[in-house]
Amino acid sequence: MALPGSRITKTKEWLNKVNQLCVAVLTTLLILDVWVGVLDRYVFQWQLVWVEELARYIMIWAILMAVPCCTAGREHMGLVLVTERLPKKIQSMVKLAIGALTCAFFFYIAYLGYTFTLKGASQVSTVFALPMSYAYAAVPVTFFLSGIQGLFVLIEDIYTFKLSFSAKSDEQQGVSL
Amino acid sequence: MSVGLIFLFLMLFGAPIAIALGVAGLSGLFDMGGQHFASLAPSRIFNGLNIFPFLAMPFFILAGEIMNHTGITSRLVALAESLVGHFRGGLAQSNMVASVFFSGVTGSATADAAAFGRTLVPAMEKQGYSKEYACAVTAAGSIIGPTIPPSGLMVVYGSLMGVSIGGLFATGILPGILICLVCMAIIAATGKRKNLPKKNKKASLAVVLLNFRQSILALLMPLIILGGIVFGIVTPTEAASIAVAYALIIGTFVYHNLSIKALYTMIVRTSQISAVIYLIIGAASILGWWLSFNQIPQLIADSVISLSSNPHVILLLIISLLLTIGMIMDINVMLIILAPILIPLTAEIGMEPLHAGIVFILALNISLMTPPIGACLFVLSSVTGTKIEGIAKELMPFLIGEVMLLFAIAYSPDVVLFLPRLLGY
Repeated sequence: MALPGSRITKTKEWLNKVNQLCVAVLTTLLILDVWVGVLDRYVFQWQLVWVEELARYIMIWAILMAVPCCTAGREHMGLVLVTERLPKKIQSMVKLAIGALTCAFFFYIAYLGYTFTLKGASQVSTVFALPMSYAYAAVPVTFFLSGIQGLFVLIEDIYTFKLSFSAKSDEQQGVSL
Repeated sequence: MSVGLIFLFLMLFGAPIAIALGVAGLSGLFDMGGQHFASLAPSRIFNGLNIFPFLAMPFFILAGEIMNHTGITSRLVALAESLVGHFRGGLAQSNMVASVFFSGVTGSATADAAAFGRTLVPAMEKQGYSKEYACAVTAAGSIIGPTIPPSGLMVVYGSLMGVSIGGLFATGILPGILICLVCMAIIAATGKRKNLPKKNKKASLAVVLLNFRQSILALLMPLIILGGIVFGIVTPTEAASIAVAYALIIGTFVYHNLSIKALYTMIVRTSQISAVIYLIIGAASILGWWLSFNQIPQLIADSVISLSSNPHVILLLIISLLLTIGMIMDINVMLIILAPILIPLTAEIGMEPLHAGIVFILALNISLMTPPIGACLFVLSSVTGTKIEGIAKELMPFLIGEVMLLFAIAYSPDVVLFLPRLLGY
């Protein structure tokens, strides 16, 4: 995007690439884990007990880890039925407001999730007897990352807004963003 | 009340569905007891996802992506065309039959719509169909995918409502085939009036057999998956992981067109598709908890029951409610918010859980293509560059046919439950 925000866009994309790599590694681990489970149950009968628990926690990490990628790629779906009928400028302003709310939501859940994770330190998982914090941490970490990506997306939108509306109209009051 | 208003307001102004749900749920928790209650939100999200069978959905999506990458779609279409291509509207009929074949590979209607929108719609256009009609046929057929197993929606429904996923899979086979037949009948009935192209002569048995041989590997996949799950040999998650292995082996050793890079892209894409849905599920879990804490499902159920005590009327009310809300609401949200409200009602009027499940799932699937908001319509519109209004107009006869079929299924449990009962569910 040839915007003044291109540095933002670049950072967003770099972060997204690293993020996607994590997602791919986690998902691959997840598949391998379930395959081990299948082989165990039907072929080797090692009676492994940890397969299911591990799979559940890796899945939560893998899936939630993909949430920031969707945020960066603007893939979280919403309705456009009403907003697309509004004047262009109002449309963009609504988009900015929703973008800000999205960031706030992600960061707030990340903040609440931090406390949730700390609480998990005193609980242990059924099979591994590991602190639940390791699993619970998926919520604050991924929501924080989503908040960051949401922020990058918001800044991109602010630049686009400024460019398209300050250049176009004379009576533009100066956008206080 | 205010929680509902916040949700509607945010949805109307284009907030991502997950955000609208999450913010509305959070506001409900805040209303109950400030930050103390709001701090429950992360645990609702975590527990909303901490369900083992949920694993099956991303695996089924990945297996479908890999199979699609190997070029299986065109082989299945060729097979369908050699079977029904000689009728009037042959390619439209083939689209339906191919949807049935494809349904064993994919578990999602939007995946079906995207794959066929890219391949079959241009092919139909070339043969002289209007783009709108081609899209409408594809949309009507796309819901066969998640009705015939494997089906991502059934995985989520079964996990949330405690209904056997294998049982749902077995129950879905017949309705899926019936959708295909109803739509084929509609194409045949309107073919002459619409002057649909008729060109091919009947394919020889040799051609059919050749096409069959070329797509046998794709046709075997659902048999392996379904056989395993329906006969209770493997769990849905295990079957889905076997499907991934099967697709990988075929892509690597039979079709030789699976690179690490392509696989990486597919894995990331699969995770992202799942993440969009599971974030909605996680966020809806916050709102769902608030709803059930305030006993709102019970209130709604009671008020529906007070309208009538006739089971048939209640069933009619439930289906109408689902189809109406489905016109504007995402199906995952409906599943998480409405299933806990409406399914107890179906139990009260004596519906069997599998029957109620298939009716619920079919209603949601139909709502994937009801305007103004239907995911399949959006996908087809964006893939083919056709206006939604145009597709919706051509879709109407199919929609009416499918809704009538839904009612027929809802009011004839013995027919629908024949197969699952036979298999011991």
